[in-house]
Amino acid sequence: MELCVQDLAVSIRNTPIVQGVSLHAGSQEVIGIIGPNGSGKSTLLKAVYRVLKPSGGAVLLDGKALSSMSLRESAQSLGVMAQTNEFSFDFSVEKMVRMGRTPYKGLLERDNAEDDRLVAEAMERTGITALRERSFSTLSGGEKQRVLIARALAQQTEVLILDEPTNHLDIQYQLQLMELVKSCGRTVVAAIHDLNLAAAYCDRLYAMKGGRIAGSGTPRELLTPSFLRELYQVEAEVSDGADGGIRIFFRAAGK
Amino acid sequence: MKKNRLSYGLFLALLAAALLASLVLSMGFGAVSLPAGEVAAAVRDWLIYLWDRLLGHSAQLPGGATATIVISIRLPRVLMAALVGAGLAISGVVMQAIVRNPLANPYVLGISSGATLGASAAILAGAFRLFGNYGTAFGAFLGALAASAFVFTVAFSGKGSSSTVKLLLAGMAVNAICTSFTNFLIYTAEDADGIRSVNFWTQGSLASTTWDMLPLPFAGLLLVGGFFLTQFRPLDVMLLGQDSAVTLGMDVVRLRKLYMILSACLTGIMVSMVGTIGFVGLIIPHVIRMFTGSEHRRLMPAAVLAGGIFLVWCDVFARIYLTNVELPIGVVTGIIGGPFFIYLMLTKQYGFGGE
Repeated sequence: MELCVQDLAVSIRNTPIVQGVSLHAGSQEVIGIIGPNGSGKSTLLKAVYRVLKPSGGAVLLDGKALSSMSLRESAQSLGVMAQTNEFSFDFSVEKMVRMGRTPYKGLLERDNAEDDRLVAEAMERTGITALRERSFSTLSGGEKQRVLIARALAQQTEVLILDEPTNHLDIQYQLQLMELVKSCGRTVVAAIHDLNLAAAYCDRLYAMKGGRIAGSGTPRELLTPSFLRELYQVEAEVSDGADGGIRIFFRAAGK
Repeated sequence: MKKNRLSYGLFLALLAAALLASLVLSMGFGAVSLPAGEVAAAVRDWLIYLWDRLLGHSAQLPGGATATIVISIRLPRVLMAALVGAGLAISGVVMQAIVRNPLANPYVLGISSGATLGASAAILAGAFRLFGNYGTAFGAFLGALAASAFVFTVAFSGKGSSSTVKLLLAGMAVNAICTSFTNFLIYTAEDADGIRSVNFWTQGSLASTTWDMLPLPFAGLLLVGGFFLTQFRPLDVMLLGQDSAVTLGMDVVRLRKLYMILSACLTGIMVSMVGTIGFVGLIIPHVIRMFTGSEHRRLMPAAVLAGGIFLVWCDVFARIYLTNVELPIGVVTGIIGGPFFIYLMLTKQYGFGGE
C-alpha cells in the first residue's frame, strides 16, 4: 500500500507547525524522517495518523483520502506506534497486544482463533511472549516499547507509522526492531533520531527543518557533511562501512 | 487462559449467589427481626401469588404481619439498595474510564451538589411544589442534570482542546458553586425540620422507599447499565488515552460525550430517589479491579453485583445500629467502606491507576 502526503499543513493554536510537506512512501518501502528537535516530525506523523487535523493538504492511502475514511476503516490500514503512552490503569501485556485487533471487532464479538494466532505471532516476533502475563506498568521502557510494536503488528495493517520506535531500546533491540520493521513487508514511515540507524535500514529519508521538508533522497545522497551541518549545526564525517552502507561520526561545530 | 476464564465464571457466580442471599437475609434485620426462614417463606408465597396472578388465576395476597413487613416494607427497600448500589458502581466504572482518573466517581460532573441544591430548593424554598410528594426527587434530578450539563458545556467549549483534567476541574468548580448556594439556602431558612431533612438527604437514606419508586431506577439500570455492559471494548480502549484510541479506530470524543450523558442520567435517577450516597461509586470499581483486572468485560458485571451487595448491607447497618432511629446510609458507607478499602489497599497488589 502506498502512502502519499500532499502539501500538508498543520497548525496548533493558530501557530503553523508543519507547512507544505509532501512525501511519498511506495509499497513496502521503509521511509525515515529525520530532523532536529522541534522540526515538526511528530506533528507531521500525528496528522498522518489522524490525531491532529491538518489545516491544509491531504494524506492519501493508495490514492484514497484518509479524511474520507472512518477511523475504523483507516485503523485497518494504518498501524501506529507513538512516542508517549501513559496509562492510568493497567492491562496485561497480552491484553495490550490484543487491543491491536480492535478495528476488526464488532461490539460484542469475542476474539477468535485467528486473533489468538496473530497476537501470539506478534508477541513471538517482538520477543515478549515470556512477558505475556505481566502487567504493562511494571515493564521497563524498552519492554513497553516492544509491547506497543507488537500491538501495531497484531493490527495487521499494510502501513506502519512509527514515532521514534527505538527510543528506550538498548542496541540489541534497536537493531532487532529495525530488522523486524524492514522484513515485515509493510510500508513504513518512521521518525528516527539515530542517523546511522536511519541510514542502515531506510530506503529513503526525508529531512525536516522548521516544519518543512529540507531535503530528501537515499541515505547516501542525503546525508552529506554539508547537509548535516545545515540541518543540525554539527560537523560530520561520512565514511563507507564494510557492508556497503555509510557511517557517520559527529563533532560539535567549530571543534 | 482457560483456567482464568473458569475462575472468573466462578467468581461471578459466587457474587450473584451472594447478592441473592443478601437480599433475603437482609430482610430479616430491622426494628423487628425475622428469622431467615420466615422471610424466605414470605417471599416464596408472594412469588407464587404473583405467578398465579400472571396466569390469570384469582389469588389471595398472603396476609399476616410478617408478610406485610417483608413484602411491603423491606423488600422494596432492599431492592432499591441493590439497584442504587449497582447503578452507582457502574457509573463509577464508566466515569473512571472516561476521565482516565482513579479518583473519578459518579459525582465527578457536579451531580451530587447539583442534586443537593435542587432538593434543598424543593425542601426549604418550596420549589417544585407542583409535583407534590415527588417535588424533592424532581428537584434533585433537575439539579443533577443541570449541573452536569453545565460542567459539560464548560469542559467542551472555550479555548484549547477539551481535556479530562478540564472536566474534573469544571466539576469541582460547579460543586463549589452549588454547595455554596445550598448553604445559603440553609442559613437563610427558618425551617428547622426542613434543614434536618436537607442534611439527612445529603447523606442519603433508603428509609422512605416504596414500591412505586422502584420502576424508574429499575428501568434506568436495565437500559443504561445494560448498554454499558456491551461497551467493554470502547471502554478498554479509552483507558489507553485519546491518541491511542484514534489509532485503533475508535472515535472516543463522540463516545465520551454519549457515555457522560448516559451515566449522568443514571446517577441523577439514583440520587433523586435516595439522596447522595458517597463512596460506593468510587471504591466498588477499585475493589473489583483488584480481583478482575481492568478489562471491562470482566470488571463491569462483577462491579454491578458487588455494588448491590455492598449497599444492601450498608442499609442493614443503617437501620439496626440505633434503636428507633435510622442512620443516614452515607455515614455507613464511609464507616464500613473506608476501613475495608484501606485494608485491601494494604494487602492487595494493585496500582490504583498510578505508576
